[in-house]
Amino acid sequence: MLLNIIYITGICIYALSLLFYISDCISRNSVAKRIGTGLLVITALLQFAGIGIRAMEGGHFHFPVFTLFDFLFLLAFCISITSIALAYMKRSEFAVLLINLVGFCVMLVNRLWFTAGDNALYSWETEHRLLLIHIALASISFAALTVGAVFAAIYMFLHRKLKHKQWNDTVRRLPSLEKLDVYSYKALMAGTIILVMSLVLAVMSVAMAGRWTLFLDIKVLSTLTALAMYMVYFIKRRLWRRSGREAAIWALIGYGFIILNFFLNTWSAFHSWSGV
Amino acid sequence: MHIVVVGLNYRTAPVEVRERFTFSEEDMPKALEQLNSTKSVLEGVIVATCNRTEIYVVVDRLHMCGYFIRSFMEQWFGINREEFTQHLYIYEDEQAISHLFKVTCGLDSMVIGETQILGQVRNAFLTSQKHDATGTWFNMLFKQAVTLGKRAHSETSIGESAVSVSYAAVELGKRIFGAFNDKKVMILGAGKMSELTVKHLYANGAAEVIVANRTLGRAEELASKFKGTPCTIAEAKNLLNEVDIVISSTGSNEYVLNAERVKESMKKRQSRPLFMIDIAVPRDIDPAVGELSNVFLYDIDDLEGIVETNLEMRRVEAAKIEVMIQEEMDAFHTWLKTLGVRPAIRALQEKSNAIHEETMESLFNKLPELDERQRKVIRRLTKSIVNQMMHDPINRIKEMTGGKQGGEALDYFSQIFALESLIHENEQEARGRNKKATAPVKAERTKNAVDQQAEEKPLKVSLAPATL
Repeated sequence: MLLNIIYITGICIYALSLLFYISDCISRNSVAKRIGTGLLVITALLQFAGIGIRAMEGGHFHFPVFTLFDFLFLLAFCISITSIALAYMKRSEFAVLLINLVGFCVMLVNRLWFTAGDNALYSWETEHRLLLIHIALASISFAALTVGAVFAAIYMFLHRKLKHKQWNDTVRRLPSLEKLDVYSYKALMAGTIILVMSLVLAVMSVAMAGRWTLFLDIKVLSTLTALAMYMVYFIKRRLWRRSGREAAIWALIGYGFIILNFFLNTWSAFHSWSGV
Repeated sequence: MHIVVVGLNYRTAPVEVRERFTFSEEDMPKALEQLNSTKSVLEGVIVATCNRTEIYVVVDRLHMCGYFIRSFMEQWFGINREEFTQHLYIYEDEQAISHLFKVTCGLDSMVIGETQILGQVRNAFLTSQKHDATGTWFNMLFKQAVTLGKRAHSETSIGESAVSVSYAAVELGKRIFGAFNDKKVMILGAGKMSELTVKHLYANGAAEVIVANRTLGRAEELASKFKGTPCTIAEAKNLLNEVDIVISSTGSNEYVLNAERVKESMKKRQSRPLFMIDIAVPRDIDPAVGELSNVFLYDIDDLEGIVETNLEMRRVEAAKIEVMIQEEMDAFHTWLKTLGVRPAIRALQEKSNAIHEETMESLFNKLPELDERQRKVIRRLTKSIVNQMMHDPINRIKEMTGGKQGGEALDYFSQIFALESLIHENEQEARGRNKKATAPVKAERTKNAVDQQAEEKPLKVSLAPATL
């Protein structure tokens, strides 16, 4: 019940925060930006409280990541925290808005489609704790990849505007192309490394359980495809030294596969314990 | 009392007139002294910049004040008033306050939203304050104006966008590169415009400048200004892959750079973007170059379009500042209205204190057996009763004087508490004190031609209710 109230309040405050950010992005308004950031901090605190309640369910502490609800809740929290940190950077209004739009969608979808449920794996008695770290790392990596994708999208937008000489206030409020490229690269680099670590742990976990057939699951294949896209991104960016625009396209394709991953749960047996 | 501004600026007077009405820094103390000794003037601030000369004054009456200020200008500059009256503007009361706020926010400047004027007004006020030429009104008004100016620039983006072609090029470059610290700039054709643009880029940290010109001598001359490298146009074409920014303004009738040449150099540049500014007419760079990947080509029309967009953005921001100005004007009016309530509050406090002291004395006479500690406790508690009783009426009258019928409320307040005579006595006392304090200054001023006004100076500290 309490979790429900916290979650609903969190969504409402998140929406309010976004409205203030949108207002600032449409027409420069520093007061709206400050209020938006304040509300974002409250949202993050509520998310933290919600995760805390889930962690203490059953009377003792356990890390709440084993249901899709918990995973998405943690992802939304990671996104909120990252965007709060970004909010203190210069010319970051649009990036914060876009990242939080993703975060808000995650929270909303989580509320509409999934229920908190029991901690499936908790009762399933995992062979080892590797899975727990795998899920936590996956959550952090998705947050980092979201940030990278948002910067890549802003790069594409700004590149288009500058190339076609469409000068306006929005263009003036964005970071430079060079910076966007660097921010996107660093976020994707961090996200990909964490994702690889997370996948290695998952492979080890599956191998220890002896469930080899799971490697042919559609979800595993789509995750590997996403990873391959990011590899292409790094090769093009570092080795072939391709333009920022081309790299940004690959970054967005990679993120497309990450989103696809969520929707493949229906046809996938990989996370049949209802996790990600 | 009234606030008046008399002045001339770039709109009303050409430079040949403005240049005759400048105040040098060393003459300012004397000018302020003479201004303050002008008939009817109680406070004064002189704002003198290259684009404007404005005299802000607080006067005790509006009638003839314009004449007196013109007389001051006539005397100070030694110019016949017929020569400059046509260029002067006079704003009174609300218009004068609004004008000052617009000036500090940069809305009245030639380049709308510029920040230089804010510092100039602030300095003018501080100079006047230093030489005792300001009083209660201007101390409040100018501080409020400067704070508003700062707020206008921090809360809006009025001063951020470039409003000249050369700055627009720099702003564009910043959107591509962020900073110019490790960037190389190449100038094709050592014209004035390209020199100005590269000057801004260099000031923003551009690492290296290559100057290419048809005649090497001129290239060397310009390169020496930026510690750059001179070369010929032909040599420059081979260096295209090394530079990040190209500014072209040759007098050539044909394209100096075509798409083929730039495409070749882009292959060697890998992923680094190339920003090209073509400010020559006829154009130096083939427009097809702009189609190449990673090349951002802007010609003079594009840059002027950016300047126009920026000016439009500044106008939009100016509308937001107008709202802020209105709010500040309301705040100043409220302050002015509450200014009149101070003597009444002071009189009420004095009266209540006197009653309290009298009662205590009577009480202690009737109860001589009370020890020192008991007396202290009784004094403190009864004082607390008086203070608590006074607290609400004082707060209420402060609020009410800020309202529409403030003057009426103040009259009732004075009558209910029977404060009229006390207020009058306090005013008389203050005037007497001020006369003594200003006597030596006035003695000096009697040497001046307009010294008789000094007798009216005590008004400066009589905080009469506002009449604005």
